[in-house]
Amino acid sequence: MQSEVLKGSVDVLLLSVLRTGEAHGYRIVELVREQSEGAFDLAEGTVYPALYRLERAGELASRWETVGGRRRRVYRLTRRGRRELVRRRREWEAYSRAMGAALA
Amino acid sequence: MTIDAYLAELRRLLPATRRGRFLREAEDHLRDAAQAFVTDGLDPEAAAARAVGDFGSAGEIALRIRRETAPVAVRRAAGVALLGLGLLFLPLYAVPENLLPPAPWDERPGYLGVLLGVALSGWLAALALAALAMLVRPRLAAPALVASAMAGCVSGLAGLVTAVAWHLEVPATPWSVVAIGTPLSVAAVGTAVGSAVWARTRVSA
Repeated sequence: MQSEVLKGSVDVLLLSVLRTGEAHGYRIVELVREQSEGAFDLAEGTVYPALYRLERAGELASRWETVGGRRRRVYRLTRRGRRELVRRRREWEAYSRAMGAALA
Repeated sequence: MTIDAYLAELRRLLPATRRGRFLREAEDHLRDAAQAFVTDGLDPEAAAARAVGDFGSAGEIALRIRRETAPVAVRRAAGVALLGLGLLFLPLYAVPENLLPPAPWDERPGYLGVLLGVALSGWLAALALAALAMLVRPRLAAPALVASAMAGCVSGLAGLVTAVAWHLEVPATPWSVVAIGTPLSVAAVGTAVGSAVWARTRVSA
């Protein structure tokens, strides 16, 4: 997918894959890839600045967790993040309908 | 490139405030990815190289991290500057008001009034600009902080000259007033200037 299109969608993609539960950075990238059936293949390292931005905005929260002897930072959606996801999803649906109609 | 070499490159490029957490997360990520490629049949060296390649350019990632952390860094710098400039209250007002002997004149010499006016208005401007820097976007905050530091310098310098002139006009003024006021002024102005320089490096990096 074109990087410019993807750039504007990263935040909503990250919020969306975390709606079902906590995940660490690598798993988040895998989830984005799986749920978009490979269409959104993020440059993996760029996910972290986006996660930090969402965390600073209060839409995500994170904590260290030890799994199999390794410490990992896991991220989860906050209440504000859930509200924001609903709002952004509505925006995307409206945008998608409008583009679909315009290009039909 | 090996994972260790890539992490060393990231360490060199990242801001110190984000280094610890991000490097731990990046290392976890790269080792998970390399392990997945090994499971898929790649040899360990090729798997590590592939994981590093997929993670992206260290320069680009460090730049993005800096951009994301700049707002917080600049707001903190503005807070420190505000605190430092608040310290100028002591040499500009609290110390002279409480430690100076009564002046021997009915009407204060005009030039002392001008110096005091410059010191106080510079101080107020510096405070206002530092407070503004906490509210606006980082690109505007950094120049606001620099302007605040400059106003703080003018204020500190005028305050210092006022202290020396006061001492000369009023011979009974103890040198301890100047001795207390000078380091306080220098510390306050130094804090403001240091915060402004630090904020600029965060934003322009």
